Amino acid sequence: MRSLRARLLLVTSVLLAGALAIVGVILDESVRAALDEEQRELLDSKIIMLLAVAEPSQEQSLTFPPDLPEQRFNNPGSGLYAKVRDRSGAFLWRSESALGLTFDPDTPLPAPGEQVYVRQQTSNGDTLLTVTLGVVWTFDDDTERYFALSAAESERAIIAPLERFRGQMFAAFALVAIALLIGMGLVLSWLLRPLGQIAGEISAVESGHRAALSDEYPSELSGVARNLNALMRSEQRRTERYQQTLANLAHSLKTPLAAAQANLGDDEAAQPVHSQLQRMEQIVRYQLSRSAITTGRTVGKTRVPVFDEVSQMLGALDKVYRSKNVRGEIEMPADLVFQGDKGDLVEILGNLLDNAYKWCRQRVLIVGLEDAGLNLVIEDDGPGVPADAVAAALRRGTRLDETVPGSGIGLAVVAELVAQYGGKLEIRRSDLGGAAVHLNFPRS
Amino acid sequence: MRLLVVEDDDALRESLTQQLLAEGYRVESAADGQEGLYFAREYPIDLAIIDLGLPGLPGIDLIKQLRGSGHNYPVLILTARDGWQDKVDGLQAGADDYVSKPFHFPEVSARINALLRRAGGWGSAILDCGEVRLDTAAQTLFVSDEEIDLTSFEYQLLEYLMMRAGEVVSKTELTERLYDQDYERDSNVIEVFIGRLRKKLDPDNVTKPIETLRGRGYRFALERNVQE
Repeated sequence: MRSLRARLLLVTSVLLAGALAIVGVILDESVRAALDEEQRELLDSKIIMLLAVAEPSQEQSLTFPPDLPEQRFNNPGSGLYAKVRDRSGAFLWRSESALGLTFDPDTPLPAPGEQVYVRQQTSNGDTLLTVTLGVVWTFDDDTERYFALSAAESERAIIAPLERFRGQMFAAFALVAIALLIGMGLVLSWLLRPLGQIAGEISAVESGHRAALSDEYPSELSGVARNLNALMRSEQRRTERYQQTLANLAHSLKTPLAAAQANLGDDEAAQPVHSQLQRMEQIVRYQLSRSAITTGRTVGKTRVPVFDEVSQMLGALDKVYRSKNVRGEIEMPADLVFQGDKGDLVEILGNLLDNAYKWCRQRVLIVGLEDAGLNLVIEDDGPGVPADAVAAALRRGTRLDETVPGSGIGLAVVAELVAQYGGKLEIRRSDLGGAAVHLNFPRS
Repeated sequence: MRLLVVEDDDALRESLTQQLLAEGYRVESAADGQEGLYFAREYPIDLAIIDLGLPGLPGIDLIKQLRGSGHNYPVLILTARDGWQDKVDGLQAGADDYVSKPFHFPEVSARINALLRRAGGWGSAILDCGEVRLDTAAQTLFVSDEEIDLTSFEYQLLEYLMMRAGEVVSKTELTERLYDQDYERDSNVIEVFIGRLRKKLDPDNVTKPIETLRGRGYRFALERNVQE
């Protein structure tokens, strides 16, 4: 149950089913009671009717006309029956409809003037509701005699309407339940839409498609969105301030170093001081560029067009290496993007392309493609990096060829930057003959 | 050759200026961007060395403004920030090369030399015209493979003419670029040195390497040899 929607729908369905079941049972009971009552009243009226048509006979008994006003008494198996018994319980009369039916003789004999209701099973499996009225009939000769008049009706008479009612009730309840669940689903998706929106916007911010969350949220979420935006802004400002401070620190450390180096002169005696100055320079350069790249990169990524950055870098390097007449080629789709900090990409490209320009004879090739993330390959037709020197090349302060100027930290910084993005860096041999630096940045 | 150094750190500017003077360049120096811009626009400059982190007017803006006002001489930037973004921005603004601080002076010197040669259309450190070969790195002159001694001023004069071999260079231009002080500016002196150079390059007056164009100036007339 990870989804709020599923949780809410589950709870709603259970509550709905419970509520409908309780309402159903109550309705069923009351309808049944009403039908029961109706049947009793019906049977009462039949007994009154029987009394009205009863005629005293010569044998001090009661007779009934063969053609009773209630047709159902005349039709066998109609479900409505009548009988008359004397004090001993012996049958004196039974209606035509009761022919062939074992009409239970054990119905109690109530006191005169009293009515008794009994629910009993018959021999054919039917259940009958029987009303028995005790009467004392005064004959013309003033003799009195006790009779028990019974009218009975099969329960089937009330079961049919009850079933009909149940059917209608279930249909209605099902409709209500479906309507409620659909309504609930709609309400839920309306209510939860801002949550989906905020999740979408956060991942858009992460991938650099958005700078900040929008401010069109319901009041319960707008606080969260506002705070997240403020957090991202302050994080970004902090990073910028940090990088600015580092850049200033670098500037204020390196200018005096340059002055010291320039003032020292180039004679033999100054060499030890030169090498110490150089060490200091390397430390400053490496540590500062390293601390600059380990700052928070959690928010505020942007989508940097790779082609533009590469072509700008080639334009800059063409100037620097103009006398070398390098043929720099770019092979990549124009819409290739780097997700991250623009400065980091520029740093990676600058160091790698500068190396390629420095070492190539004539050609530098940059290939970019999107396959399991962003892939960049920087190749040249220079001497290449021997396989056993690759590890050393990636260590800081190592210069593979001391005769070519350089600080020896470029590749180490690139390797750290690439690792920062969870990427891979490999140095292989290029088809052009020189080094091929393969970079892979997985997409988050 | 007249260079402009714009650097706000006094010690660094001073030592850079001294070392450039020692290499035979004329040097103007400025401590902030505004002053630098003034020199860059008003003085006859062959190359500017500009620090990117300047007070007053940032180096990038200084470069943009001097490029905007039509000055096309080479610009070398000094940067203390390691970021490639700064270098790319500087190069895009119109600079031609960069040197990261701290630097060794020989590296700066080599870059300056290369930029000056490039501005004159030369691909290598050796200016090679006819039988005359001037090595700008070693500052030596060979005529028909024979080394010829030059005084510092003679070297500066010949280098300037050979850098722009085939072009007319006026006397005013030569005095502006080669003299430090106004009172030294006497075009007769130039004529004297041109005469001396002609004797050293062409003692028998056969190849006539330096032409005089009356009222316009001088031209180094030997064909540039195609470089490999």
